[in-house]
Amino acid sequence: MSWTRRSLLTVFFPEVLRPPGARREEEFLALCIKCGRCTASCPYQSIRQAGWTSGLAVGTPVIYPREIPCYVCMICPDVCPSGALEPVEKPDVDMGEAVVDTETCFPFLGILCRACIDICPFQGTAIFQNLDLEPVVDTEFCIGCGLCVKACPAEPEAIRVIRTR
Amino acid sequence: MSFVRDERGRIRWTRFRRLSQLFFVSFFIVLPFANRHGIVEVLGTLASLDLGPVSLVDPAVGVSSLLAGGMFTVTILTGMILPVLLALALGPVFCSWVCPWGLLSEMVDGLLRRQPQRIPGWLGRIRWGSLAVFLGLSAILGLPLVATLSAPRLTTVLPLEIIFLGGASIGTLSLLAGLLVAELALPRRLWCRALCPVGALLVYLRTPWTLRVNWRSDTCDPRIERVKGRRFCVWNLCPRFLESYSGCTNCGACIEACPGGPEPSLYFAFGQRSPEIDAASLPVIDSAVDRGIRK
Repeated sequence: MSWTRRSLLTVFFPEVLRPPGARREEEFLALCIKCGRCTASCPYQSIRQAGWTSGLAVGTPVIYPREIPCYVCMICPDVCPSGALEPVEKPDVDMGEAVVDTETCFPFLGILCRACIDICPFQGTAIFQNLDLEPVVDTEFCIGCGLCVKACPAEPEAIRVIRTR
Repeated sequence: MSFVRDERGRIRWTRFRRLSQLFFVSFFIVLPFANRHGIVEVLGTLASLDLGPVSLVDPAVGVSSLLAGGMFTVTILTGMILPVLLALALGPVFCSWVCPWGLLSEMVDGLLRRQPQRIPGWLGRIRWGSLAVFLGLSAILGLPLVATLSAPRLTTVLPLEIIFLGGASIGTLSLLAGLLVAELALPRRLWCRALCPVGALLVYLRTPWTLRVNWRSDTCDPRIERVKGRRFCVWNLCPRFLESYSGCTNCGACIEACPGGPEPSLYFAFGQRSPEIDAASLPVIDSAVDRGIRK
């Protein structure tokens, strides 16, 4: 990665979630032509557009799971003309990994809660309860859709999705 | 006098052009509403438009993405075919008949009643330079800069943002504001004529058989050669001195403004039919004559 690219990506671009099927961030930014087809195709209005704080990546699609998470319907990769989003099978989606904040998550504070586990499309594998009834994320199965982030009753949310690629 | 022809029997090119421009503006305003209500067979903006069986991609945007990413999809390549063929056949009509920013730019131009200006000789070089800078920076930075700053994309993504995201994004609005400032601060319509990478690429997509304005040497009044200002042409071009890459968008305004009867001395034809003339041998006429020849 050239220094110009690195500086532009790291200085100007905060970590955000991309729609499902997105390529690695560097390739994604290179290919995405900001045509808005994914935004217009999303039946849940999950896909928003990066604002001016994103520097030159302004207008690229992003998902803010605390507002509207990705319901993994996999319509958007099919409408993407540039290949920035690639059609993949649902279990192979890799938007990121959920990370539990053990300081604020209710079960870690002794309050029974399984909101994130009940909502997870891969519950039992991607996220499950350990013997202390605390949520545990298996990063191998978590696709980073952010449904758990939306469901989390803690304020601010005790589970976040970190982009991994 | 009819809807199609004016009192002199001329085709009202500008009227049809306005209808075409307004059609595309309303199309991209209605489209997000249709998408929102589940009609997703037609999808997109002027960067890329999915028309069900056919997918269209703006050629400059597609090339920019190809250079930035070093890879391409079949959709990007096939999507560019129809727009490229349109430009090869009819010239850069996208700028004058389709692009919503073109309409806005013309309206600003009309409201400001800008004075005609001589075409600077360096305009062609600026257009080359701008296209080279946009594509070169796309490759160096790894970002499709043409897509970021494409005026047709920005104008058509605006209604989509308002309907899908509950409001226009500050990013899109500030880029459009920047273009508007350029429109007001720079020489008359410089963005459209020379800086816009979308239009620049379309201008260079040209064959010897591309549609262009021609003139009849038997009826064209020699006195109106080398008129200093040509306000009827939004690009300040003289149809008798059209060079291949002059940037003429085939809007037809000069054909409408041409004096005479139902058969004007200027006409659309594929390829160059009219003879070359030596500009230096012709007398320079004051723009008062130009005002005189406009109706």
